Amino acid sequence: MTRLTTILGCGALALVACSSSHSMPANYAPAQAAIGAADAVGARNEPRAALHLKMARDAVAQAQTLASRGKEHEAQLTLERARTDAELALMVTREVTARREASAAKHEVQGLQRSN
Amino acid sequence: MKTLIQLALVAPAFVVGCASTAPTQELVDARRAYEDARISPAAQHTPDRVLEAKQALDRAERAHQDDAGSFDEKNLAYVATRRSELAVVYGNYEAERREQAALAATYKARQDQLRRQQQGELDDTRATLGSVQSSLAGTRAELEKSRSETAAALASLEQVAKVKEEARGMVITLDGSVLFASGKSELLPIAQKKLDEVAKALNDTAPDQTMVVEGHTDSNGNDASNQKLSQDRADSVRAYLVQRGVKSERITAVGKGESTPVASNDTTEGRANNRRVEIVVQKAPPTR
Repeated sequence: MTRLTTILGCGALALVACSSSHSMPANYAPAQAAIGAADAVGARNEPRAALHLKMARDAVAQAQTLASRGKEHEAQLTLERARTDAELALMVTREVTARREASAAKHEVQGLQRSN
Repeated sequence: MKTLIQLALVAPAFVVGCASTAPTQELVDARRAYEDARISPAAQHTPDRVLEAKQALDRAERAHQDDAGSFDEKNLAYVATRRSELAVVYGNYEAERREQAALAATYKARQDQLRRQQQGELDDTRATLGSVQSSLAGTRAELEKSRSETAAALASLEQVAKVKEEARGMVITLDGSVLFASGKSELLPIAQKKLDEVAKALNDTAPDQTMVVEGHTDSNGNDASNQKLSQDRADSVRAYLVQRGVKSERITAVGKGESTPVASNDTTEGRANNRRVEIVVQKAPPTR
């Protein structure tokens, strides 16, 4: 019984050691943060931004798979892709918003210039 | 044969070697994307982002040199493409922001201009209003002064003659016995003093109105002599008034003889009332 317990204990420890050796690379958190930021500004509502947001999420999923297989370097590069796609989604959304605001401001100025 | 076999083995390896030095499609895309970024507004507005794109492309190029066609090359080229696209978007975003700021400045400037314009118009209106009020006050004062002078002139006139308003105008009646000796048409000295008052009142109260001097007699004597006497007396009064400043074109003289009595000719008092000179100041036409 004691032997069995020892074997089970060692097995559990081996599993923990195995999972910790396949943890996500350090750039996982920045990639996720970039995805969260893009989502927060409404990237999913802008077609081009939504496409990059999806690519970013797919890349994170792909990186998780690579990491789970022990391919940390590949996972890291894939997360870099995810981060740039997420940043692009964020900026595309901001740029579209800024363009709309500039257009509205232009109309306001034109309206004011027509008055009097 | 051995040499031929060696060549056959080396040739594919050479071909593979050459093919592997060709950039991947990802790297080709990355290079093109960087060129787009380099000539975009980002180069002017957000050069740091273009530099980041360049650095990303350099990493991909190094990966290509180190291990052409590798996972690293493809991924780094992909990242480089996105960095270039990101640089372009940053540039556009900055351009939009600057345009927005310029528009906001234009909007504010226009608002300020309109506000100044409105303020100017308001000031002009106030100044005009002040001027009108001042002018109105002056006119009121003049009108009040004129009323006072008219009232004083009429009061003075009423001391030497009877004044009444009739449909034909203001009628100033002067007693004939005060103006002339019996049967005469030359003014008595005392009459001249009275007519001085009348002339002053006419000039003060009705400087532009036309008037008629009417001579009237009682019924003593014949009509023709009464007619002539009344005309001569009216002429005398007219001439004196003109001499005293009443404009000649405003005043005419008419002899009415005994035709228009105001009292009975059967009594001494009645005949005295009928012997008179009336100055009829005709009403001014209504102003529009």
